Amino acid sequence: VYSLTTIHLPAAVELGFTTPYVTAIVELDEGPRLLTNLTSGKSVIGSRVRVEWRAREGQGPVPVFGPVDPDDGSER
Amino acid sequence: MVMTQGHGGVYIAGVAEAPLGEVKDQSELSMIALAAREALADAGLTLADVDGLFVNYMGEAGSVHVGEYLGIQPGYADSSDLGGAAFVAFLGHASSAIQTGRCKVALIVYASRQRSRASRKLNQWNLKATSSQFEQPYGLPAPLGQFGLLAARHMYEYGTTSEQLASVAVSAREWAAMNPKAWKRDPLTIADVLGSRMIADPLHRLDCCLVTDGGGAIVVTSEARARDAANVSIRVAGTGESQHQWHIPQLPSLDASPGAASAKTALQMAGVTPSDVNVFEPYDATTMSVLLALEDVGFCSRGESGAFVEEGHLRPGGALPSITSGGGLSYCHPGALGLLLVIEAVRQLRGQAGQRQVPGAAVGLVHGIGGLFSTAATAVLLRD
Repeated sequence: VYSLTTIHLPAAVELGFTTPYVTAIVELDEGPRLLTNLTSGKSVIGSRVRVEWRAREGQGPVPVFGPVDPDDGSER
Repeated sequence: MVMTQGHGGVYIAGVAEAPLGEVKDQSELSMIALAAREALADAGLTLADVDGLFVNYMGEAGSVHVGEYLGIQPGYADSSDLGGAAFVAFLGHASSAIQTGRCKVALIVYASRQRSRASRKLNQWNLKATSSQFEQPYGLPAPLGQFGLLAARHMYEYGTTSEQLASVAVSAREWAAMNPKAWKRDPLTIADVLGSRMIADPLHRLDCCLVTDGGGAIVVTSEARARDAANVSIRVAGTGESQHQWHIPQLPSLDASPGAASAKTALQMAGVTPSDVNVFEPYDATTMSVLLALEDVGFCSRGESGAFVEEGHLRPGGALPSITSGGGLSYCHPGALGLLLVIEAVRQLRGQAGQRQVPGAAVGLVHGIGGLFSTAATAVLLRD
């Protein structure tokens, strides 16, 4: 996790998001950085996370990231 | 007025704000017309003299609509969309156009009624760009979410604190208290900022700029024409601009900020250093934007801006009077602030800033940012 912010504005109602939610920049081991959501509220900058896939109705799934280390927030 | 420069000098000869705050009885175009007339009178000119028109955010073919409304047929127009930084960049574009003979009198205008129209959207994306694939699915409210990500990273790398960020908002409010046109003038404390609701962690509501109506006009012209101005004309001594990335993950590091490039160019062109600057007008979209601007221009080293603002340098009477109108945080934020930053710098350099006047201000630096921390434009302004 390169950076993260917990969003408290209802900025993505059309996506079905309820606040608060975590939007983050992750840096892949291969180098590129992506904007994404973190599925755990316990991840911090520097945490290692692993790709998961969020299904979307009528559209392809998008990559989101969850914790690698269970102590780093295994709750979903 | 003493003119120390020879031929080729370009000057801001007139400035005016449009109606500010909540504007129910004007259209955007009529706000522009009011400001243009006042700024041109300030410059000793009329609409008939305008042959260069610079606009942004006035919709498709914006310069044509504005020109028609003003009843002018400019031979030179520019609508380069660098976001809120565009109006600072236009000082450079207008200088080039005047120096190469493409126009003689450049009018830079802007107006927005984003508050009255409730037109601000939080998750709106350009469908022709890659945003809908890579960013729209993640609900980042632009641009506050981007500044939340930048602030969190700055805290992680440098130990910057929420109290340090809040001190910028408190300082801006102290200036606003001395500006009769400021939207928010009540006293503000660090505890007030930290107690306001969280928007994009670590940024609170009072770390973020206002949403108001407003706008203004600036007249830029040659040294010869500027001699007719009713007031002291202010020299555009150096300008720089940069566009970097739209999507915040594509910013390689905090060091690679677009503002670092634009500030370096402007300072070099003007032949001044940050320590020469008497008044600093950064685009304060958020308190974090100000910290990054201080580092990008070089008022402090990378990572040291938190401690710098905590020492009170930005406040009235401080070593680097900054955000002297009250800024986007407390004075006015009509969606794009760059033009109002220039107006405030000109007033300070003319000695017309009333109660908030920085004594003897002769060197001003305006630092605009635009998009989602995507673009930047810097201008060094001098009173000859």
